[in-house]
Amino acid sequence: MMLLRSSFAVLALILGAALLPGRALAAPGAVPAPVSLPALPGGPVVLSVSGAGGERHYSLAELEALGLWEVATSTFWPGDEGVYQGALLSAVLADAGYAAATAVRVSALDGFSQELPRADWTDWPLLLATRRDARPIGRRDKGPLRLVYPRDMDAALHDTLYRLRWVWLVRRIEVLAD
Amino acid sequence: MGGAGRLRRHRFVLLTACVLLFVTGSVLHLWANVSRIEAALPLASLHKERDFAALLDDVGRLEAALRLAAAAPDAAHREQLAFALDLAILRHRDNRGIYADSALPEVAPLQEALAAELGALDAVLENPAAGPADLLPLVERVAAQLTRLKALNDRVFQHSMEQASAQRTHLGRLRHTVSAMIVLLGALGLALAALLLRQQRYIRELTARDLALQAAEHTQRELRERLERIADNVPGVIFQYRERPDGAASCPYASRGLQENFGLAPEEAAADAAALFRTIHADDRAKVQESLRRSAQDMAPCQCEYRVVHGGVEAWMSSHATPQREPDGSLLWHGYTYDVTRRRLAEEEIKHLAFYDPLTGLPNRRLLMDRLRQVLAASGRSRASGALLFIDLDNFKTLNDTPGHDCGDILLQQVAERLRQSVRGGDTVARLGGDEFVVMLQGLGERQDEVATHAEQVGEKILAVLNMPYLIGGQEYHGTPSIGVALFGEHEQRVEELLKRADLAMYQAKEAGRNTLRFFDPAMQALVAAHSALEGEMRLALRLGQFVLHYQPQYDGCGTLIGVEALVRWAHPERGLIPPGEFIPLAESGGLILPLGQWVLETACAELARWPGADETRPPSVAVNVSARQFRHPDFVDNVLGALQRGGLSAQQLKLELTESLLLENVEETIARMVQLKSHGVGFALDDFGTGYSSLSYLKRLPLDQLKIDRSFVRDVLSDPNDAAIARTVIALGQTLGLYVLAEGVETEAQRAFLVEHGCHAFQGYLFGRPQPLEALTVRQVPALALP
Repeated sequence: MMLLRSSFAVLALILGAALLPGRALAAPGAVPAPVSLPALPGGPVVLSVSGAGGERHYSLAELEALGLWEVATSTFWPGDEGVYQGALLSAVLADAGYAAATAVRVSALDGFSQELPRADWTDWPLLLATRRDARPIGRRDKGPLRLVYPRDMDAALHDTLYRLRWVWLVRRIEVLAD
Repeated sequence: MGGAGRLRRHRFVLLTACVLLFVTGSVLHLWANVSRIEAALPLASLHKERDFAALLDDVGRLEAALRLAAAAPDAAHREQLAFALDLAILRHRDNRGIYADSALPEVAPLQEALAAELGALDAVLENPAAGPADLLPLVERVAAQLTRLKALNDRVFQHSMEQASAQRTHLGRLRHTVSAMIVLLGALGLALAALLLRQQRYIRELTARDLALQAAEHTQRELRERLERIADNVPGVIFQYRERPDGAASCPYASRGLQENFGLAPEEAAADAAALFRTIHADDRAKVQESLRRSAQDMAPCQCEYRVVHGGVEAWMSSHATPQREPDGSLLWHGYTYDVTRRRLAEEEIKHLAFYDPLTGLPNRRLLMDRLRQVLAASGRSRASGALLFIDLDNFKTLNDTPGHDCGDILLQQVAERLRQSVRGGDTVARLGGDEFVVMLQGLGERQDEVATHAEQVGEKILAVLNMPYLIGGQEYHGTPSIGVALFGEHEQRVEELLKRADLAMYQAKEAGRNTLRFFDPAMQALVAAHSALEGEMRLALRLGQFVLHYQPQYDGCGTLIGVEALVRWAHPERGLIPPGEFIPLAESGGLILPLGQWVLETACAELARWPGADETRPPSVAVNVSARQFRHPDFVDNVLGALQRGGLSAQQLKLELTESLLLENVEETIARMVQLKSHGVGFALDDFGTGYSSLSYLKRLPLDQLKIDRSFVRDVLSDPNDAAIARTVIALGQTLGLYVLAEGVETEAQRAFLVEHGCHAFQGYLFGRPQPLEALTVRQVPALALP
């Protein structure tokens, strides 16, 4: 009888653990890591970062100079998955003098914009992608700049909430508060 | 409750927590999922709408840019158009997924058409030289697509809303289901917890009860073991004895002492008490049973002392037990038994010390006086008589003084032993002290002269025995006693008086020169002297042939002579013919009866064989009286057969007459001897029948031929109804047993008539003829005596 009771307890524990929200293991490359690629030639300004402390402008080369990272990820859209390279959003904000920013508004060329809370770039290595498969991204392919969440690193990022935050055709970042 | 209990409780808490955690976790998980789906649902449809709206915006922007470029084709407008086209292509490409999973059939054609227009525009713009003329036709086409797109957008929005509504309803239902499941799960969890709690409480109760039971059992066992330990170590036996209504007896409990005291394992007695009773001395079993029976009857404690024999050793036990009645009707005694052998031995030793002389082991003065008192009281009633012999050793003082005290003690012990061996079992030899002994003889006879004769004989024997040399300390010693005799039983006498008389007689013996015997009564002395003389004369008479035989005839009912009884007479030269009553008792006590009896037997056989008057066809038999001493003699059978042979008489003609007292002594040997003689043809008659206490069962077993009715009954058969009844009974008994009945002492015709009337077979007496020498006897018919 004691044995039966013990096995019952163990079974309950196993079932409970299996049914509780789990955290899948990340696939290789799903976690962003620093990468080194040949530098791009200098070009026009693609990004403006503005806030209470003034405005900064960046070309693709300048952004990549802040440190190039790489992530292999799926996206919310079919045929959109790939290996993306770019600068960390946190690095860009720090470079622009807004390391302590608590929220930012990211705006696109087509007028679309989204507010991002600080947690997004502190909890995850959020990429401001400049390249896909090591090549610059065209406008028709959501370039030249797009936000890439390391979606396969954390199942939480599969939530549709984040679908809107994958801003593409990024042109401007406004620091809302710091 | 110990460590195990605490562990169990902890495990239970852990188990319950796990179950609750599991249930709560599952419920929360489910709830969270439902909520998330619910939250995501409008968002998902929103994406679709938004994407479509975005496409609409992009195409709208494209149309506007196209119109501007067509109107004023400058660089800025061209760049604006290129940007708008890029966005439209991006959106269109990106929206492929939406088109693919769209349920609306209009979507696919629109997609193709839009793709064609975008492709055409792209191709135009590829050419840097393209002008408004190239762009203008496209304006209308894109506008047309825009219009279709707008219409489709409304449809998509509406469809999306419908879908969302349906999903929300479905989700609502799911939410209800989940809620119900949550409630159910909660209830189940609670029920499970309650069940577990109850079970746990139940288990605890059971455990507690179990523990209490164990404790009680333990206490009980301990108590029982303690009691058994005590019972087993107490000397003796503690027991229960049960008697069931059906008579079965057992010892449900007996302590280990049973083995030691009764040689019996308690288990053996538990099954059946018979094994226990077998260990009790056969003589004491009835006593024990009786004690138990009385205890059961009065429901009173029973107490009993008895002997137990085991391993060949006899031990005295004392048992005490108290009975109680059981519900099933049986009786249960609780009691104890202990060994009282030592106490018994001590008591016996005390008794022995009080009543026996430690040096010789003989009864002391006190016991002698005690027994004498009893014998005198008894003899006063029964007229049985005895004698007291006072024995004093001559010159004992000299012996006692010279070689030392030890020699005197040894002599006294040897004297005691010789005295003990000189008397019969019923007689008492006592030591009064110093060198004084007393011998008390009982049952010597009824007549004073008889008693005196016997006493004198014993006295003479003691004189002879004590005169034999003693071996003391390797040296031979000669000693003599002086004996004084006092008779008792004739008158009422006091014990002290009697002892004094014997003492006085002993002094007379001393004065008469020691080593002799004297009677207290001078007349007795004279009588004894006379008896001695007579015995001597008798011995001489036997040698001189002064004894003669007379024969008395015996007739049957027809008056025919059937036999004669041989009767001895002493033809004394001075005193004439002496009847047997005067010398036979003396001959019997002196041992002269053996040669005299043999002489009678030889003579009777020889004389009858040569008797000329005998009827040749029916030779008469001769009846010869046989005394007990004669009959018991080892050579008796040979002597009888020798007499027959020497006399030349047929065994069938000899009839031996025995007395009742002779027959009753040592019955088995008597029967064996009779059967032996009977096998040779010798017949047997029972003399004086009816005077003793014959046992009829023995009478039946004896190989007798004839019963003789004693003359005392025949004498008064007509006047005394009792004698008549006895005579009748004897005759009837004889007939029943198939014996020939002969009446003695028939003196009158009336007596004969009475006897004949009652069936008596034969007669003897003065009416038919007195005892007379054989030559005087003639065979004559008694005519008047013919059958009635």
